[in-house]
Amino acid sequence: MHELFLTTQISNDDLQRALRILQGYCGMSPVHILRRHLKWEGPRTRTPKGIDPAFIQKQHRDKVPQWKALSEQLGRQSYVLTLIYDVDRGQFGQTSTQSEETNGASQISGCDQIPGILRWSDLPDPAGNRPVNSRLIVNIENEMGLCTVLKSMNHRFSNEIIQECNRFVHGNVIFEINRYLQLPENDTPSSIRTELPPYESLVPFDGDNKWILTASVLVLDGNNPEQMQKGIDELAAVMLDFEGCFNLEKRDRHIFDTRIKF
Amino acid sequence: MESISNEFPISLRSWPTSGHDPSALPTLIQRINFERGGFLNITEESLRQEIAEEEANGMDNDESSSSDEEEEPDKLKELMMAREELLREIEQAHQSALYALDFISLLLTKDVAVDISPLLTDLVGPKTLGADKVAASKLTEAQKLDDKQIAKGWKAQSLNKAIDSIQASAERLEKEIEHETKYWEQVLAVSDNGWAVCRLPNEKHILGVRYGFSEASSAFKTRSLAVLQRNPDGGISLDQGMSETAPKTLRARIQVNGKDTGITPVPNPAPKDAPIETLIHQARNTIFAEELWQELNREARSFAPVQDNDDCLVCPLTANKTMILELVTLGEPQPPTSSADNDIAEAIYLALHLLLSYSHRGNYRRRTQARKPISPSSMVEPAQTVTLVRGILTRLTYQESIKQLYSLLDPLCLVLNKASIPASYTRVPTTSTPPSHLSNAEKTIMTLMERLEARFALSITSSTTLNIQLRTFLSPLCSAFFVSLPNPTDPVVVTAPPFNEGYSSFEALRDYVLQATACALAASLTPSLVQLPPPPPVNDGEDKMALDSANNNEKETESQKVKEDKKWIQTGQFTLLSNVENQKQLSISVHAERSRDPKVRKPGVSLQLVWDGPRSQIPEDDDEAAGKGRSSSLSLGGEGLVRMGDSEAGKRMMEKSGKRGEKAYVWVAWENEKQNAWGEDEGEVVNSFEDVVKDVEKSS
Repeated sequence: MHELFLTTQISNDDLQRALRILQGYCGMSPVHILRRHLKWEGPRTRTPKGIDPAFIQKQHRDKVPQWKALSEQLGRQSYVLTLIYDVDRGQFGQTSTQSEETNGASQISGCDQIPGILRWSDLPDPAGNRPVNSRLIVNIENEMGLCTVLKSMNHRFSNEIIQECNRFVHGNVIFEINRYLQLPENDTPSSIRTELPPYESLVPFDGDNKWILTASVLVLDGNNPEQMQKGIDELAAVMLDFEGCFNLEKRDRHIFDTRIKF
Repeated sequence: MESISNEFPISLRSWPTSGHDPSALPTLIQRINFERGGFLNITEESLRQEIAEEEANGMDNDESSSSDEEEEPDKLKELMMAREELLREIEQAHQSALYALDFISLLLTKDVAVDISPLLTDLVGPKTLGADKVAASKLTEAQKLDDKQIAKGWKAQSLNKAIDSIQASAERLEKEIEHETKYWEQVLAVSDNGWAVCRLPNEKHILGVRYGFSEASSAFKTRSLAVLQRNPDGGISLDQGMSETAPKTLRARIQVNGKDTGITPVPNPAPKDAPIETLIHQARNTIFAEELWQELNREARSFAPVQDNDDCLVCPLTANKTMILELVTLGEPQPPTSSADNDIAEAIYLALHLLLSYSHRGNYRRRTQARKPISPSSMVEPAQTVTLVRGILTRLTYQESIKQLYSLLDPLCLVLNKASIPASYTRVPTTSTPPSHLSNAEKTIMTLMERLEARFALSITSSTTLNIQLRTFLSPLCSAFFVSLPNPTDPVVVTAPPFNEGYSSFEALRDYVLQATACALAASLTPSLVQLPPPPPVNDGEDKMALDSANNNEKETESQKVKEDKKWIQTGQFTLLSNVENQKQLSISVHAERSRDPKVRKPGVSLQLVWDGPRSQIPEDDDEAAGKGRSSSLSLGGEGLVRMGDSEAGKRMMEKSGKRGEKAYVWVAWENEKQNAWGEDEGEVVNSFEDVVKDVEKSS
């Protein structure tokens, strides 16, 4: 699956105005989303192994092609993978009463017990004449036990970040106004938190507290020029509509690099 | 070309063909015959006079048309022409001033160094023009003074004119400001009341109000924008442009046997000078009604019960009630009707509106969800169908099926109770919950229209319980009944197993339930055909029905010994028993009945015991044929059939059976009948099923 996208920045002062504009453009109220992003680094080796074929065969038949595609990519190069879990505001600042959650196994099982999304994205394609960024992605959704799976694939948990997102949909184009929030320092930074700190203690990742507006379109088959052109046309139309309002543009592809370098 | 003089006529037209020449003689003769009825009355004088009159009329027309044009000048054109003229004059004045400046500058270069334009420097060069006073001025002081006075007068006159003009402009501007303020106040009021005010897509300088629905089908969405026009007095009016139609609404009528018995009201249209809010509301209601009408027609094309009949849609609701839907203009006179079914008409009217809104909500949800990736299949948008009349009929079918179930279970349990058999039924609440992401309004509509389900547990004897499940489907519109036996040791499992695929009609279900009841009663008199396994463990999570069946098992175990003492055995037919001691045969049957009263055709159930001879139906007597029906009947000691009954008339009647040696005992109960509907003086107490069977066993 290919993702075509354009991005721009929005200052925090302009956020409400941007939300109102997109609300009118898309004819919908924004969908507010809070998500935990757990970053997992692949093994630092030049000959990484893909995913165990036996494990892939055990998966639901609809998801086998996605797991195979991911295994193929991870067999060539190590990447940073992201596990995404939906959270709500009420989960922040709640203290857990279970004493056993201090050990590592239960920390992982905490996230394993809820469905999450495994997301892999490649380095975007070289720009060429395309007016948009495009990259290969794999999204395996609604999956349980992903932390254990990544552990078994020799991936190492590196850090965690909170995504605050306002999402709009206009035809095939998805608009997301995102900002990323860092969690305060933890005693054991290499372990997954069992409880989230108070929301007020989160610090914007961007020093100026800017938001990132992304307009994206998903295309099932990136090798099909007709599908790709349709996606590009829709994004180009959006870019034209917002000319003078949002400076949606193609960025340097290396900003979005997720490969492990050593 | 030079050889051709200017007067030489050149025509670029093609040479006229003879076939279409209007001046050709045959054509002219034909035309004269057609226009004037032949040449008889035509003279040269009359034609000249006619031509003169036509010319005179033509001049009048020209004058009138020119006067019309004068009356309605094209303001925009005039304004543009005036603007062009003004610009031309300014340009001319500018040029003249430049020439004058150049002239003076050139003249001054003779004495002092003055900058002159480079063009003039190149053309004539500096210091090439000089001037000298050749004679003294002839102007006297008096003339000068006079000139000054004249100049002052002109100035004063011009100033006065300017002041007047400015005052007039100020007044005009003041009025304009008042009108603009009034206009904007009204526009803001419209906006504050929640209407979306926006610029028109193609004419950005004009304001419009979006009164339609964002989730309506595309044809209606594009029509949902009207211009907020400013009247000359600053008032606001709604201009719907090409899409403006007479205000309309949907009207629902209910007919019984061709006569209107219910109708929804049709309001009067708002006057043109009504408040803008009222007009917007009316436009919104009209576009909603029109979309509803379109969707109803679309649904009617693929939904058989709805028939399109002369600009109205006709759909049967019940056996004798028909619904008629039509789109009418506001203020249309109402046909004379009785108001008996006005509530039904209004409920249908509201339900249809709610269902279209429900469909709009669904469209919004689909539109605002992230779509699947672009793929060949996603490029083809599936057509969305709107459920309107189908939803109403589904609900009605469900309610009718529930009613039918009660009309069976009520008298069935009652007749068994009359025979002292402790049968009962309960309605088990269903636990299906609509998806949580829907709003409460959507959940309500979904609960009323989709996933319609009802469950009943009918306990007939201690060992027999039937679980009846009703499901009504939206598409295809039908009700289906599913029966299960929770108790695996139930004798009915062997004697009358239910059909696993379910029963597609109530009649089929009723026949099965009655047959299963007869089998269960027969099984209670005979030794068990089923070996009892140990009672299954009951988990907490199992439903009430399973619990009931487990309890029944325990009861059955207790009564096992009693059963084994019975003198009856089953024959080839499970409801026909044979006594091992006196060789008598006993037939048990349960039948559906219907009262003979033509006004109230009450459903009922009869339980019959027939012995000593082939099974036969109870012969009908004259009273039954007269429609009085029977409440209960009994036969005692082989004396013949004795009938006790006519609960509806409240009197008892006794008579004897016709056939000798054939005895029967019948219990009958009707729907909504009270437990003991007869009075103390109305007859004997009805015997129990067990007593009658004992009597039969004892009789020789």
